[in-house]
Amino acid sequence: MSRDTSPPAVSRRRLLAALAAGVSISVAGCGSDGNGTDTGGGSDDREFIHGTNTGGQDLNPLSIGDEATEARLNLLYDGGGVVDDDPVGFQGRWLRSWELSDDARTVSYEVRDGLEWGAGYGALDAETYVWNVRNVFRSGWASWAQSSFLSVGGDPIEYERTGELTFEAHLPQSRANFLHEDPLLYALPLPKEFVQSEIEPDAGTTPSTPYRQQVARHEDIRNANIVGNLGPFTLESYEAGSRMTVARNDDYYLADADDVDDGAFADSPALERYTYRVFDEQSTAYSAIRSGDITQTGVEARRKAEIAGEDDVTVWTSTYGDGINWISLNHRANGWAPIGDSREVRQGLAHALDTGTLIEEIFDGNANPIDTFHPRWGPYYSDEAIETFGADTELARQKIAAGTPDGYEYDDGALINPDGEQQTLRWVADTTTQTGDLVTNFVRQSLEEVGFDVETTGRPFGELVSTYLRNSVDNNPDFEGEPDYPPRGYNGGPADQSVSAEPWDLLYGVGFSTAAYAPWQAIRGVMTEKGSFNFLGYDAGEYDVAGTLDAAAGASTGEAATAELEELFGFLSRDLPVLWTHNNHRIEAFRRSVGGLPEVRSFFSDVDPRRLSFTRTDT
Amino acid sequence: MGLKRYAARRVAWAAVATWVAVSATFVLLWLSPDPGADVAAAEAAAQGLSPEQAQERYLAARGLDRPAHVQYLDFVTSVFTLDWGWSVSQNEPVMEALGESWGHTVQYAVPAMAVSVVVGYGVGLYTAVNQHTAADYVGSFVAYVGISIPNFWFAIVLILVSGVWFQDATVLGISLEPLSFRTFYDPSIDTFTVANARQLVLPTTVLATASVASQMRYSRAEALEYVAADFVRTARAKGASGWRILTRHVFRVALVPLSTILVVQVLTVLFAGSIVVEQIFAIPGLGRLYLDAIRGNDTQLVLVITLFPVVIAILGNLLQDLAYVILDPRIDYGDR
Repeated sequence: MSRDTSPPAVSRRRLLAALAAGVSISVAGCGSDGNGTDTGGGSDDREFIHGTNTGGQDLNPLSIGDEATEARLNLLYDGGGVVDDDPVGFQGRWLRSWELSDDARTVSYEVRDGLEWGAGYGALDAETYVWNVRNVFRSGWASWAQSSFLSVGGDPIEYERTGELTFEAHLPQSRANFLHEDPLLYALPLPKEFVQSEIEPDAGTTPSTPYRQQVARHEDIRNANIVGNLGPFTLESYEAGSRMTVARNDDYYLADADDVDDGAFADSPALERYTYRVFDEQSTAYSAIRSGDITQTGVEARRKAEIAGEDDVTVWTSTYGDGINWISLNHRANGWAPIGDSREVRQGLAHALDTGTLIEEIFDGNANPIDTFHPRWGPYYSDEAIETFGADTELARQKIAAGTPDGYEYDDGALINPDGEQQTLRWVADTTTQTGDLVTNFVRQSLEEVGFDVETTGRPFGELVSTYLRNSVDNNPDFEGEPDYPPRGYNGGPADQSVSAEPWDLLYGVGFSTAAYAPWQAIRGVMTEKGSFNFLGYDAGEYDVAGTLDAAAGASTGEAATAELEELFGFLSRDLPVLWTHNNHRIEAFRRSVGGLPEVRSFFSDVDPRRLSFTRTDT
Repeated sequence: MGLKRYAARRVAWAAVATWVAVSATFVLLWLSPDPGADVAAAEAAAQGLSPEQAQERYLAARGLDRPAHVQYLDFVTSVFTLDWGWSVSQNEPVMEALGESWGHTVQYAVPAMAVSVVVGYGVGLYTAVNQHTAADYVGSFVAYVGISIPNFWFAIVLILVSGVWFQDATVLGISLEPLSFRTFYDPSIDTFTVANARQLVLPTTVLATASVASQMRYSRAEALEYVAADFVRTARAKGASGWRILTRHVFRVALVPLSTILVVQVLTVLFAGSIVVEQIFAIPGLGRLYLDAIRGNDTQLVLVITLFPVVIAILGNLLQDLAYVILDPRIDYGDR
């Protein structure tokens, strides 16, 4: 979950579940002579500056839990593999091959020969992977952020070394889509010798500094000395909050590999230096891309046309955004009761909103409408199964009137509640961004047209999370005792027991990753009654969301998974636990001198620093 | 002897004041809500990870899971032993983080201060002795505009005009490209180069503008008090030149209150102005470090950076008190 502003700069060919729409300005720039113009040197000797408005965390490979850090570490370490975009399938990196057995229960891996850690830590081989799974990824001391992905259906995946460069994973149940959720494709193991000699997690004594911090603070990690020949670049400097500069790794193993994407990485990377710069102020990044001080920047949807109009700038757009955005509805006891009680009321609210206009006017058309917890481009989207609710003010009033209990009635266009007053809806949004303000105004007008009085509140993102999303029985004066099930994350208990600190009815500003090819975990977290991120208090009633997800995830064929998920997405489109709005495009602006931008063929088509180059002198 | 005793008392007071300020900052930080843990948990949950684990990791990484008194004692001990600990937001020792940052801030803050003092005091004095003339009105107008323009807006406009528009603009056939400066700060450019000087022009201008304006207003107001004073009239009657009257009689006495204001100005420029300027020009200096530390709940770094303005204020006050003796012969520490 993250703020809804502009698309993330995240390597989507990797499998880390990305957040929906973090503010991100990715800027790649030409070198500069200091006065704002590109140096006119050779084509490849200029510095590539990639700007972003999000700083990374530390360079501990075990720490990856956010997009910014992942993007930075991606310059230093390749990881096991990525998902190819055409056709969709495995593309090797450290792992030469990946193969799922016919019964979808066993994965066979082959580690590429010749992979060497830096700083004298030896070879990266099958033993490295299996040892890391057992002693690092699954250990308590490492707190690996993706450790939960090493289990399937609650049971651990068993890993077994079968040769110097080969090993297998035995899945406790069938997983036809395991390619899209295999943690070893993006996991970054540590050298066994490094952990044993420098960290000593099994020494039995309590360290003054937690082991995980010892890793992060070790010179070989902070300076990325362990890179060896494993990544396209080596580290020159890193300041977490402001910049990172890397230089071409002349020993990069992939430069000599002819088995990957028909030798597309021969002699890669083409760039000599690559720098991440953090811009707190987006307008500075836009000015910098225009002036040539930087070469690439992520662009907000509503600014695309303006930036694309610049002579020396080219805009790359992927319509396969992985973040979906919606207007959250409060089904809990401190929300307007008919929202949680009546599907008809929720459908009425959906009819009140013209998402087409919202996308056109606020996002300048640079987003896709969505109708369920899945983008329209997603592999499990089915027109036949999905129900849509077009903008229709009259129909909205009819459904709201029909769905509200006795005592509610329309009077001169206003919805009057049993107290004889116009019904007020409490709208909360992250208004620290201009997009939040614009959406707030749009929705307020839409709801006022169908008879509501709308009370709006703007809050910073952090406060939105802590005050409105987090909920507990302690906030409910009408409830005493323990909730019916243990609180988990952002679900403090059943909707009639656990409520947020402040009441609300509709909320905007949080978006979610669809994880389109393996969506079960994301949906389970938000849309199941006991899901750890069901801050909505949503309960699907008779429909077994969790059971459907289990069936889809555990399917042994893609067809079986598709059938289950089509049914689920159809249900969510009709039941409207939230008001579905849009799925952002991903927009990046580059200086025209940049070559190697990928053709957008699928969700997995992504800009890769390994393939970028300068094709001509900028003027 | 009086001066030494006075100075010793002031230094002792400075130590107490520093301790109070640091303790107060610690307490305020400790009491303030930390949405970071919530956000970390929310992000973990959205990715299908354990929010509880994410929250625990967040707190443990920052040492925030320890009792408050342990955190406080740790900090106070580290202040006195100069072991300022580890910055979790920068993942390096606090001393290293400060060492990498201060130079970037000094590069534009010192010139900005110098410009604001020289130009501000100069124009202020000139307009004071030429009160109600066209120059006075122009000076006052410029001062009010300088005070009124928000720094962040001025910076963005300067970047657009100078960094982008001047690149291609021509006036009467003359290209404005030479007046075009970098849109953001590049720390990799060598310090003592023309390129570095050029990239510092815009941040220095922005920072100096508001400061110049306020220095101008203060110095004009102070100087006006003495322009018609008896001792100035006497000097004029004795045939002193206008320059001598201005510098030796008016300015010297006016400097006593102005030097008091100067300390406040330095702090304002360094720790308020620099945050805005460094954000907009992407300068990895102290202001940005401070903001990153606050955002990242990097208690260790926040507390150490808080020491800087405190020390500057205390030392500045001490120095200005000592300077009073030199500036105004009527002040003596002998009796204190």
